[in-house]
Amino acid sequence: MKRNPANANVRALMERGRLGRDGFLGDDTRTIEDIVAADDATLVAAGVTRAELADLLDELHVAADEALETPRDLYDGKVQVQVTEVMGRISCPFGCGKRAHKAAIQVKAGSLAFVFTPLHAHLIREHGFFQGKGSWFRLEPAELISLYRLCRGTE
Amino acid sequence: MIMEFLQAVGMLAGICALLAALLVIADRKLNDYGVCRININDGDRELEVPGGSSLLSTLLTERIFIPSACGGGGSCGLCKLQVLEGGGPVLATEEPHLSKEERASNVRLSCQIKVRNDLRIQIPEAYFKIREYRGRVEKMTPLTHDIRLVRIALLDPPEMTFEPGAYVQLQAPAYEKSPESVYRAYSVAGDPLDRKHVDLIIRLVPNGICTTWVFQYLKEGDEVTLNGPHGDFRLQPTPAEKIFIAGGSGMAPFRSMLLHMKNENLNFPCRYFFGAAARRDMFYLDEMAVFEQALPNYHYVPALSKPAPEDNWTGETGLITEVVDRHCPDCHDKEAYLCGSPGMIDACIKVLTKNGMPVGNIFYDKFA
Repeated sequence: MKRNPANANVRALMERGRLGRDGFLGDDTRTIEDIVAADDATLVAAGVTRAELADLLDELHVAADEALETPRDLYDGKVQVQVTEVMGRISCPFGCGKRAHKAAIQVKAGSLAFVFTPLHAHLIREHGFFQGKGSWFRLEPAELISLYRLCRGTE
Repeated sequence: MIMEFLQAVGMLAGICALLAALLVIADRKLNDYGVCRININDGDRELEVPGGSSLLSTLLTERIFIPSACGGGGSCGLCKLQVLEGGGPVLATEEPHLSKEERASNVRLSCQIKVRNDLRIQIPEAYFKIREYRGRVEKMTPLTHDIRLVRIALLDPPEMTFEPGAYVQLQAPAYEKSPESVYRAYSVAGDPLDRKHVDLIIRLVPNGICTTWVFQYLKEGDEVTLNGPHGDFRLQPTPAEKIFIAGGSGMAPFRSMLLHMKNENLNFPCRYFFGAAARRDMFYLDEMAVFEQALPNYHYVPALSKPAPEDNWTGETGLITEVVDRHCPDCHDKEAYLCGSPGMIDACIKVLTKNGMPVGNIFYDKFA
């Protein structure tokens, strides 16, 4: 895949300790373009778009915020969300100027459990980036697709 | 044959070493900005400093502590200063943090400006009172499953004077999970009369740099570095009824304010609404009862939003905003003091203004 020269700088910002303690890449050695392309392929195969997943994360974030750090049951009790205290903001490593609160939103749905931040929705919607393999905050597209189908009742 | 090969390798290594040395010398010569002058507040102070470092770290070296929560990484946006001359163009890393008005007033992120020439800057007077302190962790007390009280005995300087509501910046040193040291802001939870200690209430943030260090690495007896006091979250000297609203580690500034009210016998009407999910997230119930005895016009209203059956909770229930709404239907002559996450604060402001409180009577310490 052709590499975008601008992504060299982006990759540097994604390293551990630059914008976040653990960075955005984990132990993934693939290029950013390759990471995005592989995850995009999962979405295409499932017939789900980046925007649909990003919208779902925004929806969960708003619902969790409204509950003020209390666990909140959604979608007939199939999903539980809880936001935990936030401190500071984090900038988008792609340099688009987006800054998001460092809220941590915990999601539990059956055996599925993960944590996301408000930056995730932006990274997925605008950059198709779910983070590198091994990153503490990577969202697995397949898991997010399952959650999307559960929430939308299209299992 | 082998000798020739080794000679070639040796010669190549020698050339590489020579080139590396030349590069180091060139870097020192070319990037030698010499001595730069920093004119502060129209000549109130003038510094002569070696160029080459960021303005933030240069001022730090001169013992001038500018608030910064990210340690100079350009991500927190707290280290803003007016740079009137010599700052050069605004960098791309600064742009997301600066409003149009701030740019027009030459506000810059001091961590992003390299001192390479003379500068003229403005620093708020309050920053000159901020000091760096060395202290020793005297005691760590679990308050809930994820909140700790960290009591720090100050060593050098041995005392700190602070107003209730102030915060300090605690330095988490570089450790196994963080390649460089960072500063994080925490409200002081202790008694303003006890100048020899700094009490902090710290909640574990999932994957947080500083809180992971506090919970997994910091031990009683360890030395720590902090600076402060910072902030302007203060009790207003008015007779109006005060409404405190907090949750979790947002307890910290209010504990300090209540200790101050008890010390000074400030018996104005005051209600403290503290929200938690379940009983296991609630703490200092006994201490709050002591304040109620000492301050007859003070009432503590703890509320659980999702009490567990085994909690046997008979107190208030619901989101803290719902509880405040029930208890304070008319807020037009009251003041509110809020400490917590942006979501909690925004929701509280909505309820308070709905019930008639003027926006100017709402004071808050947002975790953002």
